[in-house]
Amino acid sequence: MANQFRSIVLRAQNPMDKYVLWIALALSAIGVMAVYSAIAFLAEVRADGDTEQYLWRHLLRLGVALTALVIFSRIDYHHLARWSKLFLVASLLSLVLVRIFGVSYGGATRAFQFSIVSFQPSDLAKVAAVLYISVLLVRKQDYISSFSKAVLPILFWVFITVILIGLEDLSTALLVLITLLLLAFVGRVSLKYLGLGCLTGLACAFLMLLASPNRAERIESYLGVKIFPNTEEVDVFSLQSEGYQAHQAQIALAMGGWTGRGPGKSVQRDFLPAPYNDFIFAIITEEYGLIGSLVLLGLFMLFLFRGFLRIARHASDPLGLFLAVGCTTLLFLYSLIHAGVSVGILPVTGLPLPLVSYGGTSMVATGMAIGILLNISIQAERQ
Amino acid sequence: MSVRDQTIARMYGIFAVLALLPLIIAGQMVWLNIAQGDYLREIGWTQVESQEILPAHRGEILDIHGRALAVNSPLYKLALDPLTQGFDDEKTFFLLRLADLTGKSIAKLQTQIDERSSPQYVRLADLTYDQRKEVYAWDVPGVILEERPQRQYVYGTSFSHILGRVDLDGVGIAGLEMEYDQYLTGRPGRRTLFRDRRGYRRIDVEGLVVPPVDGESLVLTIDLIRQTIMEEELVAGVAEAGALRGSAIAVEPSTGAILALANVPAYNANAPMQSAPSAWRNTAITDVLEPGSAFKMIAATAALEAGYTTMDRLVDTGDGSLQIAQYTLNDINPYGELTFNDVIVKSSNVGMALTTSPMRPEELYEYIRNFGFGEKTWIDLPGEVTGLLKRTDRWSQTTKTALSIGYEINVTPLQMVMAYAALADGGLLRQPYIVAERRDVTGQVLWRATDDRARTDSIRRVLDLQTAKMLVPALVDVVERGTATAANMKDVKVAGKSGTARKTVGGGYGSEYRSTFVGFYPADNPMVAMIVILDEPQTSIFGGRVAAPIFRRIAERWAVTFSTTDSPSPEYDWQQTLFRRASETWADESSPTTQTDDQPVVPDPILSEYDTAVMPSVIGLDARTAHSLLSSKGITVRFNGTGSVIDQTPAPGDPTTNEALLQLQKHALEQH
Repeated sequence: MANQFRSIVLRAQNPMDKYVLWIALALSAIGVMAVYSAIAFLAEVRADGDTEQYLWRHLLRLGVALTALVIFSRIDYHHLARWSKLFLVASLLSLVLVRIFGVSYGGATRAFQFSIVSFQPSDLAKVAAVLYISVLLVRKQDYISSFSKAVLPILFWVFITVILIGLEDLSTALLVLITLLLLAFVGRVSLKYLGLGCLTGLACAFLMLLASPNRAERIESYLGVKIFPNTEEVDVFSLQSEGYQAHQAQIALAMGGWTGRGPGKSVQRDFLPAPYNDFIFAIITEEYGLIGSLVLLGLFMLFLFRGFLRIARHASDPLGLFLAVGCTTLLFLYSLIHAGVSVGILPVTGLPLPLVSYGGTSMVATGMAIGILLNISIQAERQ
Repeated sequence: MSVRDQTIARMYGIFAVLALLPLIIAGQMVWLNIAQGDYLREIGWTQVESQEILPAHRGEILDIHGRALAVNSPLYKLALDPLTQGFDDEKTFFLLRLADLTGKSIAKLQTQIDERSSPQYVRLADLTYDQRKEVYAWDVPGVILEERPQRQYVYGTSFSHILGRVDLDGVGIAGLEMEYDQYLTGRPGRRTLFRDRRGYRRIDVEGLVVPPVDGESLVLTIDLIRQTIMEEELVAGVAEAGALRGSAIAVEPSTGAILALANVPAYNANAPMQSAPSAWRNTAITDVLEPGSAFKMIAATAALEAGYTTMDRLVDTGDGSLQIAQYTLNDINPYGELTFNDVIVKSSNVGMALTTSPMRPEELYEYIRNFGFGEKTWIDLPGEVTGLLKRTDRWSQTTKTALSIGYEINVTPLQMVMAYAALADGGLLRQPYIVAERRDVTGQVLWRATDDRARTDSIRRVLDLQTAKMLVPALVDVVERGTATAANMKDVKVAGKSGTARKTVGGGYGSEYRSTFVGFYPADNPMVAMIVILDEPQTSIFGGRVAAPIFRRIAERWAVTFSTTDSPSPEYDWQQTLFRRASETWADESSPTTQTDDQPVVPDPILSEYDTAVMPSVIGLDARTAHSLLSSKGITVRFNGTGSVIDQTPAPGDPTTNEALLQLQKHALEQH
């Protein structure tokens, strides 16, 4: 049956999906405006009020990300598939290395620092993982119900990736886990095994929370209940803690009202930590109002719609389908979890909003994922 | 179902689940806005907005020539909110630098912080303008810099009872500062600031700004030089006589304008706690005394106008003693037969008592009352008392006699001098006043006493001009050949009356005296009415001996400040002219010809100091600070433009002038 899919060699050369491209450009534009406003505080502290300096940096990174997007939309994803195992192994290795040589930001060691460029391997690892798991799913379609021959290898790579990412960045790890399990579900892996995977994931997460009081506090503060033995009650419920951040994000939301305070007029950017990154959605809501943020959510919906119902649905082969589902799910979950944190229905995590937030490697990874999506759309079967 | 169909079906399932997520988020956002929007917005605005009070500058108090007496020196309070995020990181650095800057020890500062009474506010130090700039540059989170203009009294103890003082919050609590507080204070402005989570505040460009209205300045009727002379002579006189206290008031008879007012002891209003609270009292208006013989002028007026005597009517004072009820009245010497004129000149108690004895009590009471006794003069100073004048139905057998020689009545020194000023002015009683003008911050005159008829019109006629013409020569006689020859001046005729009254101690009369001399000069065209009172003088009890010389010395040293040809006019032109003449005198002090023979005019140290001083540089300062700085040196400031000073005339280092012109320009950053 796999051969049947693989035999479709005659690739139709379609124009790339215009919607996805425009969504990417719209998000970039919104991001530039929001980051320029939100970076003011950081600029004041670090660059003596020179907000333009950060604007240029953001534009530079955006340029790199969009370049990656264009390049990956031109590379046949089958070529990528051929090298996917190497990509994943390399990124996992760098995840290990980053723990040894990396630089710390806010207590977590996640990035390499090469002169002014910092490089965060976990961002690449998640794209590589989506790529390689898609390849594995295609390869094992014929005997996908076999635990030892299909499920076990898949779950092995899923968990080795998730655990290595999770050592420093639990929220990204959980997000990657969910993405990969959903991908595996679409790849017809039995629900029973996926449930097992979920439970394993939760167990790992709980163990990691026990090992890190810092993270446990966030969960407790979100739930409003003290669960973990290793946290201090005072820290959990103090105003300066995670609960404070969520509260400030909600204030930002309310300050915006329906139409917002207007571009650059956020006041909550001074009260939210990392407003240019972790809370950019809150800043956008404050400056452009409910209407603005609903438009943003509409863009995500459209992205999901195009990614699943157009690109994946009409992919020329199963690899295209899986890759499209994986990339779309990954970016969509990123956006929705970021927004969920900002409106206070999820615990504070610090995930960026793809293409909008100020951040280097994650933007490039987003550009790569969208580039792959576009390449799939170019190679779609003729309709 | 084919493999492909299965895959597609599963994909649709995932799509359906994922597509729900944005709806949940949108629902939460809408719900938050509707259900908690107002509540959250209120929290938001509360934490972000901060009202900054823009203090209004307190008006200055200037002498009649615009010389600054009370000014604001720019002073900054450094306070700290130690709980501000980020302060702890910089604490060590901050304390080290601050200790270095202020000279306080680190331990002391640490103690101040540890023992603060409010958790988020502790005041650490007072800073000058330069120090404030430096602290600002450190950019330490939690530091609060507040401008608190400090009231500064340029001449220390001089003018202390006139100017009064302000409390720590800048509210007037004594003197003119209290009386004119509503005009001096101005109205503070405010503006809305944004505050971030470190507590730093920044200007909200679109925020509400209510600019402050600066207080009005007061221009006094008093000339700095005359006041200084009066104070010097009073201090010297009190010391010479070994007196406990002393007061002196001079007033312009034709207007009621106070020319000088001084009390000993005085206090330094810049540091009032260094003096005993008794020194804070303006005894010239707050303390009462029995005036003694000086009061005979009032009784004499009553007797003359009611037709009981004439100036040359003879009175037999016999052996100088008179039995009234069970009391005996004595003269110092037995004078025998005296004209009424000489009764006044010799200050005969018996002669006065005999002259007034046929009068009805109501007649005497009416004159005393008309002269302003028993009621306030309504001078524009706080704390004035009415004194005590008994109504006729409460008079005893001795009251009329006692009143005629200045006992059984309590008067203030100010009431006395105003009564004599009325006589000097030909019989018109006036209201004394100290503030000649109120000006706004640009120097525009808002109110002028001479334009305010309620202030400068006479209150009433208290005696006929004819009576005055009869009485004044008698008072000139007092000075020329009577009890107060010590007040006699060489070139100027002085009219006056001395008084010596026993002080009451616990209801009875003790052995201590109050000695007075009150009078006016020149007698034919009076320009100054003045009273000098010494409390408990030791060298002599007689007003003619201890108070009159002080009067004379003040008058002599004042001579250069008055024209001998011009007559006083309500416009004060004569003073303008004379001040110029006076400063020429001081400018040429090296030339001996300008000095009077026996009473050399000593240049006032304060004046010469600022005459020779050089202009400080105010370039770069904002207009207010520059204004405070210069006016504290007695320089009148004029501005051209708005913003910060970019040029000044005279240039820094040039000799000071009375007036400086500052060129202002707005800095680009000040446009908001």
